[in-house]
Amino acid sequence: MDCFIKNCRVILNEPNKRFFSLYYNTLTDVNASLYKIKDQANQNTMNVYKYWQDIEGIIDEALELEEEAQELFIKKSCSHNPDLLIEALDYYSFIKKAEDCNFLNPDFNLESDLISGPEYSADKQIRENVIGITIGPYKITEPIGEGGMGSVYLAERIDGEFDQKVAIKFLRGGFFSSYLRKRFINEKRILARLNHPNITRLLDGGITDDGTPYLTMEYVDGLPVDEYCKKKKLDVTARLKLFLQICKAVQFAHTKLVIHRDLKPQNILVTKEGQIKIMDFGIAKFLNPDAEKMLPLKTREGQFVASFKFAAPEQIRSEDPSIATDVYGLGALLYLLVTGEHPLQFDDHSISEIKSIIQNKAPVRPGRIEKNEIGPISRDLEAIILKTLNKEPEQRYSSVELMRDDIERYLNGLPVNARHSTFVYRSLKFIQRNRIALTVTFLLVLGIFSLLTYHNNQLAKERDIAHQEAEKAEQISSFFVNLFEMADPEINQGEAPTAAEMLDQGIARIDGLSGQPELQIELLQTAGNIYLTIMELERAEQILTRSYELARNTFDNENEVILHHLALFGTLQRLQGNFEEARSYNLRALDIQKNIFDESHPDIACIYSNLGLIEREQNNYTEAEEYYSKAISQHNYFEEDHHCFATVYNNMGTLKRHIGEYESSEAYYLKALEMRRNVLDYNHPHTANTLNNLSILKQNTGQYDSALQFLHEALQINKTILGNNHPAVAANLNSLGNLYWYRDDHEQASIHISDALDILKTHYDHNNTDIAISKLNLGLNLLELNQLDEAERLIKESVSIFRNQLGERHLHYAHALYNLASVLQKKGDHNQALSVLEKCLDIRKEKLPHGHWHIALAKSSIGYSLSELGENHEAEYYLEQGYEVLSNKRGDDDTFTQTARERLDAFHNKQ
Amino acid sequence: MQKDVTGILIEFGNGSKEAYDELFTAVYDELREIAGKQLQHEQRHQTLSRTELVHEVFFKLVDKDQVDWKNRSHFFGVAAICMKQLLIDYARKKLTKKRGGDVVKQTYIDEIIPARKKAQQIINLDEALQKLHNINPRMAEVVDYRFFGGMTIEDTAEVMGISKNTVKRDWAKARGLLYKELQGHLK
Repeated sequence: MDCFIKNCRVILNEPNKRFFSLYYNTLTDVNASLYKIKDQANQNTMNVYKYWQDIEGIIDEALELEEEAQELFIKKSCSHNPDLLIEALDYYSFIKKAEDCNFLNPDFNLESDLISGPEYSADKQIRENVIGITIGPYKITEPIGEGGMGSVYLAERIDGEFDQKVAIKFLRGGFFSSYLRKRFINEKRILARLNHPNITRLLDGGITDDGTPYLTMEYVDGLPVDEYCKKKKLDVTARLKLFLQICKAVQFAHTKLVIHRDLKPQNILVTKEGQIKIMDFGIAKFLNPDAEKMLPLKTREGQFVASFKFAAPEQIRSEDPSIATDVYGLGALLYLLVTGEHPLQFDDHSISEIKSIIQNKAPVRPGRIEKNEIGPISRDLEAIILKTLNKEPEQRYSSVELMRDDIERYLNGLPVNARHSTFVYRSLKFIQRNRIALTVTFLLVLGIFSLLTYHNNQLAKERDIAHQEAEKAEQISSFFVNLFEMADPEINQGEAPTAAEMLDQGIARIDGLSGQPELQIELLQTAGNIYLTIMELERAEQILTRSYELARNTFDNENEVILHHLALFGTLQRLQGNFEEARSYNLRALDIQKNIFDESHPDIACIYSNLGLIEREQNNYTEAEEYYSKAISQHNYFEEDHHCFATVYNNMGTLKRHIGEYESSEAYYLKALEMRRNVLDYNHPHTANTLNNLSILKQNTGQYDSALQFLHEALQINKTILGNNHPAVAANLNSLGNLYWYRDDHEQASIHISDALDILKTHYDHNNTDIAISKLNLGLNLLELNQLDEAERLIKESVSIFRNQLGERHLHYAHALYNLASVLQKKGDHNQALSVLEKCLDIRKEKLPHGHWHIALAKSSIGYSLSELGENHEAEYYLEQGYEVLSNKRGDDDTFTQTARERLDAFHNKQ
Repeated sequence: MQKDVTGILIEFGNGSKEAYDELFTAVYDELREIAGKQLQHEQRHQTLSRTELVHEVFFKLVDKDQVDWKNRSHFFGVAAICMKQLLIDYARKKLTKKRGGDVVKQTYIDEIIPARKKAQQIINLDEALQKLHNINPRMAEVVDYRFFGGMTIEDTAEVMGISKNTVKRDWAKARGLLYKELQGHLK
């Protein structure tokens, strides 16, 4: 008890961790007293060494070293005292023995011993020299290597009949009762019937005189499949095709009712010709005499672990291996082949730790592995792999054939079964292939898909509560079935609804879910977000306010949901131009974000992006850039594509464009585009937005062809999502019109602008300035095409709209007047033209800085009309003035300057 | 019930002594109950190892979402000791039973200690551990957690408040000593 009290005092001074030991010690001492009473005859001390203190110290140090260096170290440290050396080495030998036979193996099952001790050491080495001995018609010539299960030797036919080389494998380990010997021979017959080009033929087998079983098989000269792939530098597709070969062979064996049980690269060789050869089918069970079910029980840590890396959880639990076991093994192999790493890592763990890892730890998603030099892994392929690695056998592919099918589907671009074959995913693929307005559905799906996945996972994990969750999932499911039905043109009779229409319908149904506030909030919030995206701001505000109230009532604290709402409100306010409110919403969201998550969450990027946008729209470029940079640095940390990061890149691109850094702008835009194409669906308003931005950028740098391409793409997307009649589509069309104008393709320009006009007319009343601009542009194009009457009408209309909406002193009005004059001049009505131009010049002189080239334009035009009317003196003045300024401001090569020049020359020629 | 143990576990993690007793009792009872359950016919193939037993108890008693990794380690530490206690008690009972006698229904724990020989081994081990404890209590403690509890090196280190390397070394040394000691016994 003295001992105990001393310990106690020491312990009480240390923090909580030692509490444990305190009570532990109490218990042990109680136990000890029990023993003392019961068993006084026993010595209470161990037979310890005389030099225990020294030995312990030396051993401690030795154990820190590499295994090879340990013995030497001990010898050195004890060189001064031979008795000490004897004891130290003795202790060391016991430590090694205990390790070798895995003494005190903590996890044991029915089949193995409680304490695998010295008498049950499972390692019987074959030390006999076997080279030269004869087995059947073969004579052993040289060792090939140490396989996982035994020594392998090369042997040749003695009778020289065929020049046949075979491999003879001696299976070591285990006790072989006569019962087992019989089984072995039986099995051998079954295995010998595995006649397949990709399976190493088993030729013969037997048991030597001293009781060692052996197998004779065809000799294969090849590399393990993983090394082969590395050497040939195969890409993902090539590896998959090789893997399919492997699958076929395994499948074949399954039809013969043989399960491999130990699929690993060392068992799957590839010859020089690229042919797969799988070996050691069904051998594994012969190594443990007690149970046919267990894995090779090796005592050398290295080999143990190698087999374990491909072992299925149920194998660890000593359950009967089945086809699913091989499926798992194939999955682990595939993982290794396409990523270069094993699905589960264990190098320095004890057996029980390894077992725990196999049964419980989920492998890292193949696509998330850093530095995968083999190639990128798509989500579909990931899904296939992870399905095979499911801890539950029933959740994997139920046959190798099904797995093969899925891989082949993947290689052909078809949907794979592995991805939660919920209708959500299937519908997604269906819709993609049928080109319906999928963005809304996708956005909704995106928002709810995560919910569904979450629910599905929960269902799989939890044993109880499933009912409630199942109901929820059911409801969401039926919600979408209905929604999709609406989107299906078959049901709709060909009229695909617009996003807004679908949403409206959706909202009506969400109301029906009143018993599930959390669900309602989620759905409403998503719908609100979509309205925002398609710029239906009023609807968005309505919906979001509703869901926000609901959220405030349902949740106690400020959580993720509230956070999202605040961010959305911020965006809403910004789009409505209320910058102060927008900022405060976003800052609040930022605050909450920091409390709930740490800073490295992609949603924070969205908030920073919003804040940046607010600054930019107020022309505070430096502040905007700061916010964007913060968000971007998070992406570098996060390294995962996320729609929030794409937004930041897009906005940064626009910022750079505004300040004229065009190259930088392009880089950002392209990055945003790539990410958006990956993360969002192709037909998404954000993608269209980036494309539009790129188009404008290209216009700024004069690359009109590129600009045109991007714009066409954007238009296509917007049409698909928003329908043909949306203002955003009109905007795209207008931009296209401008582009064609610059390329002097006035026909195309006219077509597009008039289409735009048609759309705008359906949305706005006739007095709208956007309409006026369109009319003006169209008029100009028609002018170039010499459709003078139409041109005149349109431009007159735009003139009057501008005058009504903007007043008589507005530059747009002046611009319209200028163009009206052009028409009139072409028609030959120079008097009218002059009176119009005078008004125009007047306004421009007032509104523009002195010497502005628009003033010069007006002057030159006036000069022209004057010259046509024969007012030569004044004409000269105006023409020369106009030309001079234009020449200075725009250069001599400019079209405007040239026109002015031509007019001047024409005038001089007339004199 | 679940909430209680979770709470107790957290309290214990915060240093409450009373919590330890409550925790020990709860875990011991549960462990004994599960281990003593009659094997259903179908379950014959599903023998649980000690580690799995402990995990079962953990799952049953503790709300895993409320506890962190350290709490979990503590739990396993307590369970390890309970397990040891159970095994030793059971082994003793088995040894004192008359040969033959009533047909005892197979229980989980019988799977773990299926024969007299095994029971004797447990007792021998326990005695050897006692002796080890007298030389170096820390080494004995490591064995308790690693062997009886099936705990990982990490968890053991956490529970004992020592480094992982120390655990590894102690484990190696302890096994060496025990092997030597038990070897004499087995012969």
